[in-house]
Amino acid sequence: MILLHADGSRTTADLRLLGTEDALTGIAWEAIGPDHPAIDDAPATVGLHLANDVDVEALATDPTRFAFVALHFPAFTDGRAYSQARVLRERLGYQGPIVATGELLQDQACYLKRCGFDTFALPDDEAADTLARGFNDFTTAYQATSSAELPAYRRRRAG
Amino acid sequence: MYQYDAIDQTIVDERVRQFRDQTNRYLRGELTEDQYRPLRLQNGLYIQRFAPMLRIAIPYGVLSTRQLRKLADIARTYDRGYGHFTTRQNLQFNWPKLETVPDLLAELASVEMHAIQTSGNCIRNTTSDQYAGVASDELEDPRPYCEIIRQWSSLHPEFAYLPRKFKIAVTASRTDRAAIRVHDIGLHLIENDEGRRGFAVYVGGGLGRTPIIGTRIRDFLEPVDMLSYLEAILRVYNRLGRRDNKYKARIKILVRESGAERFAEWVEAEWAKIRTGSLQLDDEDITRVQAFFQPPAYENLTDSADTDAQATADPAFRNWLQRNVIAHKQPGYRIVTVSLKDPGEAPGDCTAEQMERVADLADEYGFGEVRTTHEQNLILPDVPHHALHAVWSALTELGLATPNHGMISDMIACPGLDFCSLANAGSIGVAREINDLFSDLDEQYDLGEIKLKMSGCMNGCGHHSVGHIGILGVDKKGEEWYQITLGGSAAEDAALGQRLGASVARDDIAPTIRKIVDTFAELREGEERFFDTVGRLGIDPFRQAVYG
Repeated sequence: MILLHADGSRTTADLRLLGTEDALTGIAWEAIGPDHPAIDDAPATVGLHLANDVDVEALATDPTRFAFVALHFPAFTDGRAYSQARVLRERLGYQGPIVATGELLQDQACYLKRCGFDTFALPDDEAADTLARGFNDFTTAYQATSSAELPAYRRRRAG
Repeated sequence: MYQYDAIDQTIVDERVRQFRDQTNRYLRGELTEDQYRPLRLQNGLYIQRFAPMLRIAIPYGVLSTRQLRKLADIARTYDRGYGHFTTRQNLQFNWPKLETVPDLLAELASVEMHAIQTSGNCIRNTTSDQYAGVASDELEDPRPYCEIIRQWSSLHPEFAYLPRKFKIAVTASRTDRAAIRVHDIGLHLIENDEGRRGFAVYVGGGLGRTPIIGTRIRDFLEPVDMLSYLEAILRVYNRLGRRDNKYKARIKILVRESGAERFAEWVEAEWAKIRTGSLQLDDEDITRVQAFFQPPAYENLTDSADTDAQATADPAFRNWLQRNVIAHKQPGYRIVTVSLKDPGEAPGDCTAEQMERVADLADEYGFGEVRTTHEQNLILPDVPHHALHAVWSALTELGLATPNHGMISDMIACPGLDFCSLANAGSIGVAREINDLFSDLDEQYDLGEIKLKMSGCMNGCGHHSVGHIGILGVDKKGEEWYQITLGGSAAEDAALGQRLGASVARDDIAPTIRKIVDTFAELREGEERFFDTVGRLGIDPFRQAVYG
């Protein structure tokens, strides 16, 4: 598996999303859900993965304790994780990596980045090449989002 | 009207480039049908019965004559010389070739137009009162708020993949010409008891297979809070809207299943967290956009005695004046409805030549602006009273002066079986047959306002559930049947029509409508409208007349 980063760099990693019954093996890029029995004493190398119907504000656990947060797109047309990412970044102030998993198309790349995703889990280099092409689809936007820009109506006043 | 700056133009140009690439990838086989479909829909492109259909956004129904001429040009170059104006104030082309759509979009971008989010499960074109800015009864011009919403909703990264489509309408008049209560969100600009202006917010209205009238979830919202409140509603919907069943995915179902009060609490809780962020507008943000919508350089005019004399002399002109011309904010001016309801044509269709000539008229007798209406007509918003006869003569020659605004033949209809792959009904043919039965204009005038709305399928593009008379095409074992509802309204007296009874066969639909209208003519008191007679008597007398 390839982890593509927002700056275009990549890491080869075995991202594993563990179920509640899976034991932690201590490898990097292992992530557990909030219901995992080891959630309270997971080592700092472990990530937190959240299904897209989880309310990130109502988590019993503190996401900043984890190495990363993984949010899932069961289909690219299911946009719930965008809201989760924005709330994590903009409201909860989470600054660690937010990893997008699931069906990711290059056509979503700008949206994903603007909502606060900075890492993208992809099956191979070819998929990473494709998604990375989408980073440049748009050079500007109307809305202020996690990228911390001002909305267009404020930029216009400034300029 | 609003003028693009570098930000707007860059976004539209980059969207064209992105769509060109998406289409090329699809044609090369790099995107599957399932992957390409949502992407093309977000750019208004459907694959239809005979050819692709492209829906072009006309934000809140405002067009410059330059834009209208470009649409005419596109109709000739890329289509078969005409277009179809829709109930979302947009324009559809029914015959473009898939490969040429990116070029078509580039042409649109050259006149500050696009097809962004005219379909798909995202925030659609914001609609408004077709008389915005010129209506004599409006509190304030709603278009600046529509433009602020247009920008906020365009390519919004969080809300591009909602559970289902999402439609917002804004009005600022007591008379609701924007059908705000059958929208996912309806904003009604009002003045509160303290004389402050703000929005009453309605949520969860919608048509389609489960028509619902929207509920007011907030009595008063300061205009500076408009975007943060919209964002709060959308975030609640994006998180909690159903995704397990596409027929239960609209926000109206979420509002109904959770209860409007509980839904409003969720929204208020979310809003409290984002209200004071960068989404909070200030007065300067609003006045900067309002500056684009300042009234044009009206002359000091008074009504013309010549026009009055012409009206006395010519009954046809007089009819048109009475039906298709209404009061204007500015003395000496009138608002003219350009009827796209010639009885022989499909409702909402307009040829390239008609578009160009209407543009000419808007330049000569106006300030270069034309409007589209959700009732599928065009508007010349600023016609001097003294020029009305000249405008009427020109429109008559073009077949655009049918004096039927608000009458039974001013019907709304979707393109139906002739174009749409979803339709069960040949709406256009049925429209013609009904028109044939009401060809006597004097009779139509006697009958007064009757809003007849027809959809070719459950999706309800023709707004049948809120027609005074609604007609819905249904399929029974491969045959066209028609279900009739009475007593609906999309205006300030919003209501859903009640079903009259069992559906009627294709050959019986026009005669049945005739029978219903005849029954009304017998039962009405004085000048009562059809809608009010149904309200007073209920539908039983009509049921009796039709089914015995």
